[in-house]
Amino acid sequence: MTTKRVTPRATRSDPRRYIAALEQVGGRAVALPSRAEAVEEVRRLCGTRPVVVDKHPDLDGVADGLHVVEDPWGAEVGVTGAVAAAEETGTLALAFDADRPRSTSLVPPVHVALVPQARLVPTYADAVEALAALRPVPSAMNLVTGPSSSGDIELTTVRAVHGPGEIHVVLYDE
Amino acid sequence: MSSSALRGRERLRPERPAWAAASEPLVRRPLPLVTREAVARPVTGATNARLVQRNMNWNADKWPPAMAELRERGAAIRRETLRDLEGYLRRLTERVEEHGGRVHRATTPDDARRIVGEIARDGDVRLAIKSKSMVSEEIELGPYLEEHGVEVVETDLGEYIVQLADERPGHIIAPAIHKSRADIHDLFERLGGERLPDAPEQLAAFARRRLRDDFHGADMGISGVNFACADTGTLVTVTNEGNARMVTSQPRIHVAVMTLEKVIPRFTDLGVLVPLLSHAATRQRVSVYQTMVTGPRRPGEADGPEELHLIILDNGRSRIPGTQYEEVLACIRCGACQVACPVFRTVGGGHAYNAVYGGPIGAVLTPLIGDQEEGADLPFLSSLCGACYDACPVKIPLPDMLVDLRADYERRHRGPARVGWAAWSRLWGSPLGYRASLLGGRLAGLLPGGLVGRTASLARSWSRGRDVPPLRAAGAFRRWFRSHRGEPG
Ligand code: SF4
Repeated sequence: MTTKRVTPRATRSDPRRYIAALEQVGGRAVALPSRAEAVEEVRRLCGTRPVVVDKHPDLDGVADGLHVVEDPWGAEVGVTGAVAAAEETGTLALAFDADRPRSTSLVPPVHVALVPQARLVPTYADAVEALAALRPVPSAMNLVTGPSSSGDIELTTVRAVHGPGEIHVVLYDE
Repeated sequence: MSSSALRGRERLRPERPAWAAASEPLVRRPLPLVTREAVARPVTGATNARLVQRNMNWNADKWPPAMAELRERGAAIRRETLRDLEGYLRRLTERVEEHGGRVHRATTPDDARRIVGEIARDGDVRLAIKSKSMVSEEIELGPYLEEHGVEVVETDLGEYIVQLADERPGHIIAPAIHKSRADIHDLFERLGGERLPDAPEQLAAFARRRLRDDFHGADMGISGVNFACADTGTLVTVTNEGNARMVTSQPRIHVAVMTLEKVIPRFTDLGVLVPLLSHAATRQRVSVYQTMVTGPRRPGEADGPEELHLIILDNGRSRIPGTQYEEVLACIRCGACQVACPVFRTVGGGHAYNAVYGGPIGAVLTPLIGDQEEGADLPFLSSLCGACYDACPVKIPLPDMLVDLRADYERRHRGPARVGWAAWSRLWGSPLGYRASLLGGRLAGLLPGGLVGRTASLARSWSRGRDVPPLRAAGAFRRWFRSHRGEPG
């Protein structure tokens, strides 16, 4: 069995599909025409709350003017980028390393991701492929689709169990 | 540090009924008695109603075309490793060790417990947090560690509820299925010694608050493994709550426990297996989190465990490949066969099976693993209606296996039921015989009520502890199904 390679696609990606898929599972996403506006949106979402921000080229300059703290356990918002985002399911593919701790997208109750539209891939399987292409294999990765949830009480869905109860993805066109 | 999530637990102890007790009863009793009691329990009706509702909701779109295709692919992927399980495990082990993890092979549950106990002792572990893992139930890890001075906290919401109540899980992926919201509300109020609102959101929020300090302060995290990728050494858990992310990233030691059939050939197979598992287990397109761990934290990383240990448990499974039961090792533990099973629903979930794994998968797996005597009679807890096969995302022929296991049982235990079962399995072994029996059943239904249960002495001893259903209805579902097939629901 082989699966097709993902990277650059001839057709332009469709952020509307991504937004609809994420909203269906209880997340929020917007697509903005420029990076400057997207960074502004991330700042608006964080407000004055204590935040942790990954150190990553995609996030250059985002931390300026935010109330940045060191310890994720003291933060109310975690800001990350993403390796890929799947239009079909609203999934974010995350990889962790020295600059991108596992805790940023996990410990604070709100997760905000800033993602260039070039990272959109059509399907969940494509997001898996995007992670599979990383070398060396990262020590930790995560595929995240929507806010934390549970069906353990009488099989009804509740949000915000242990992971973030809110997830916002800010897409932008480069 | 000691657990804050479990503070106040001593206030809860005395109330738990024996049938739900955290450890299985030592003495196994005849199934008809066990099931009769299970059906008579007041909570069984409510659990049954929840399962029936879910089953009805799900039957509407069991295998939509795109999913049916994934099902074929998933079924094939899960059988790929069976021909050379050892080879795949060797590759997995090499990859995990290459990335700095340690791999421990355990032949028996006792070996597995001891290994984890030693890791805890060497690492001076006082508090361990656990995410959901059926294997840890199989090796009874929690009680063992507690005996050795390690406090263990279940962090999956359902498992936390079940742990507080000192019970066993009632369903593979919905451990607290047998608990009502009122039960949970009452449990949490007594634990916390405070008044709480009873909305599910508020109850979940209570658990979140309670468990957060433990996530932050535990020494050891214990997780299961849904898939272990042989090509990369990546250990994958599929969850919704986020507790497995905590368990695998916050404590300084991570212990992952798997049984040997969890190995999959390639990392990229997750693109098939995760949506398939998610659909079968909860009708989600994908579960919220797929947590992928490849070795411990690396130099310069701010979080993640310093030590990663992978325990690979056999417990009799390596006997299975090459037998007519080998496909049972393709199971991805979605629990769909449990929801689909009328017997599982009627007895109110997994407790009546007195085994780690209940329902159709449990009835097949239990007699094949461990010492093989335990639960050898479980294959009789089935109506052989075939719903489990229809629900199974990896197409395990559970009904065929149940029949074969009954035959195995009869060969070993010659009892009064032997003749009857043998005749019955011969009869139902062919479509013609099966249809004839339904016809016979309908005819018997014309006889005065109760007569069937009273006829021959053989049938009488069999019918003790059972209610013989109105036989006039025999085959009614299948007739209805045939006449409705293809019509939009
Ligand atoms: S046997 Fe099939 S349906 Fe049952 S738990 Fe395993 S994979 Fe799911």
